[in-house]
Amino acid sequence: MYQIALKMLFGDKAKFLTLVVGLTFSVMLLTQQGSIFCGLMLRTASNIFETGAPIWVVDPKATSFNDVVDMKLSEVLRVRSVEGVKWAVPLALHAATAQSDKGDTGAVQIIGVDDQTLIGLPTGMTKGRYEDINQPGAVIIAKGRSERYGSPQVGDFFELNDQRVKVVGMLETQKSFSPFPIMYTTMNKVQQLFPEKKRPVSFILVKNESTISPEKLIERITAQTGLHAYGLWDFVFLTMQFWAANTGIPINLGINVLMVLIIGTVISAQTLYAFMLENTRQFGTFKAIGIENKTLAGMVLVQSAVVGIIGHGIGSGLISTLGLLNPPNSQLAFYTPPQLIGITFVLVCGFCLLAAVLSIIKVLRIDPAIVFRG
Amino acid sequence: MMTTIPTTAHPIAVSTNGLNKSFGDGENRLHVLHDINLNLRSGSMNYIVGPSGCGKTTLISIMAGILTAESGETTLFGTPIHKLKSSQKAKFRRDNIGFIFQQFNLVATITNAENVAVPLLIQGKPHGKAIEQAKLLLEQVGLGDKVNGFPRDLSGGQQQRVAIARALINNPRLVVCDEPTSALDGKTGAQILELLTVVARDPNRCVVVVTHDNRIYKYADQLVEMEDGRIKSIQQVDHSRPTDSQF
Ligand SMILES: Nc1ncnc2c1ncn2[C@@H]1O[C@H](COP(=O)(O)OP(=O)(O)OP(=O)(O)O)[C@@H](O)[C@H]1O
Ligand SMILES: [Mg+2]
Repeated sequence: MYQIALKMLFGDKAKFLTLVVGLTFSVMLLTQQGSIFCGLMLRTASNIFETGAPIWVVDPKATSFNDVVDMKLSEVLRVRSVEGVKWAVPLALHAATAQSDKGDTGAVQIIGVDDQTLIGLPTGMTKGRYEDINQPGAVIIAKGRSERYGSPQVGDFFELNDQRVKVVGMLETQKSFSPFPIMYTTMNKVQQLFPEKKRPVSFILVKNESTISPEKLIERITAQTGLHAYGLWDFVFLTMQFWAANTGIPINLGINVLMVLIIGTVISAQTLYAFMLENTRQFGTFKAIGIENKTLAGMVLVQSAVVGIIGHGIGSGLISTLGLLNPPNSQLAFYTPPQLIGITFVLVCGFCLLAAVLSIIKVLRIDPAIVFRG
Repeated sequence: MMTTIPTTAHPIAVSTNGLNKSFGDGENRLHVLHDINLNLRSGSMNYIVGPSGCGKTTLISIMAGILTAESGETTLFGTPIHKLKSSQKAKFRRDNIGFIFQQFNLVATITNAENVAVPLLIQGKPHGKAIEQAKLLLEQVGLGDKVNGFPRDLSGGQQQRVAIARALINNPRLVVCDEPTSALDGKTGAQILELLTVVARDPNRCVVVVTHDNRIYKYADQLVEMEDGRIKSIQQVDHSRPTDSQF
């Protein structure tokens, strides 16, 4: 009878389309909201990804990339002395005020990278040369939002913490969640720009020797130095959590998702229920002929499961495609991880099941005696 | 040719004893069946006739085990179905009863053969086997060329033939038909009743037809006339015809 159930479902193209479209819309809305959430969260961690370091070591009191407790330069040496460390370099993250010669002024973030290795400097230079960062007073700026301090070009000068600096390069970086423009320079110059800072290091970036797994080394660094070592993704999640907890994004998007869930459930339950109602006479006939309740319930379940799976496939497919069409660094933060597709699938199964249960209750209550009534 | 000589050659298939049924409560209570006592034999064609609202549909619904009487007993082939739980009744219907409806009640979106196969599928028979059997039966009702078509492409009479094939596929001992011809024109209706008469020639099968159509009484072995929820008369008709069936 399950084949019959499917044919009943597919047989009436118009009704089937209504059913699937209802679900497709719910899935699209859910996936879209979820993708925006994931996209925004990913942006909170864009600076972490850009450095490319597998292990991040921070002060034990630091909670994320954007909430650090600075460390002394000597901590880098302590980390380097841990067995299994291939390299360990400092990375600084500090706030400063920039002022262009034209008088534009604004807050910026300074990221200082290791003078020798330049580890932590993102790739994607569009103008200038990396090595020029070692010139006195040199900074490389990340394109985007630099209009705040006069959209400086390569060769331009401006004031940073009352010291003159020169733009030697431009970087195309990933969109970050933080609204502040970012300038890259070297650790030495960071110390010159912030002479009062006794603790200039914000993070120590570490790479493990091939003889030890990152996980093992993380444990060892934490145990031996008293600092906190994190794997890349752990640090990413910490940072996402920090932004999530401090911006209200999850709550606000969560309300949307909840609305979509309710609407999705109502739409799919309603359309499925209507479909069952329209088939009352057929189901009544099956009941008169003597169909078992469990077979009848199974038919309804099969019907709603198929609608759910097809609706989910089309819905998440469409949204994922839209996501792929969205250029990587556009204003729209949009990222559809496979896990999100999994979550929406579970949710869709949930509301199809609910719709099926409502319909099953209805169908089981059909009085077979109706078959002889007009 | 109508006589009142009872046919006793075949065993009693359906027996009702003191059936009462009413609908609604309090002031709206409508007593529809009053003390119905009726015996229908296997191998016979039984017509239930009477004015609109006299309780014909209610009576065959109870006989077929899809409606429960308030009081009284209904015994089908020795099984007291009024004592069965609803799931047991469903199983009993699945194995013993075929249904034919005024509006055919075919599923529009499945093929004619699949429609015919439904009772076997409900019994849990494999799809392929059920369809094979359905095709054979469709051939027997003269629709061998329509097995893969859909009900919407058939005339009313053809649709009712599909429905008859469906009602017969589980080889039921009781076939109940409520106004099987009233959605059809006179000639087609007569053909359908002739077909049902052939169905009733099986000595192990009892056919009950509810009808308004008095032109076709000639097909009946027993004519039950109802009025106001009571049996007004029972007449036996002797056709002296052979008792074998091609179904
Ligand atoms: N489910 C129900 N609820 C309330 N009243 C009902 C119900 N079913 C039938 N009745 C009433 O019971 C009476 C008998 O109905 P029934 O359908 O058995 O008559 P019938 O002889 O088949 O009539 P018709 O020839 O018009 O089909 C009618 O008055 C009808 O309105
Ligand atoms: Mg009736």
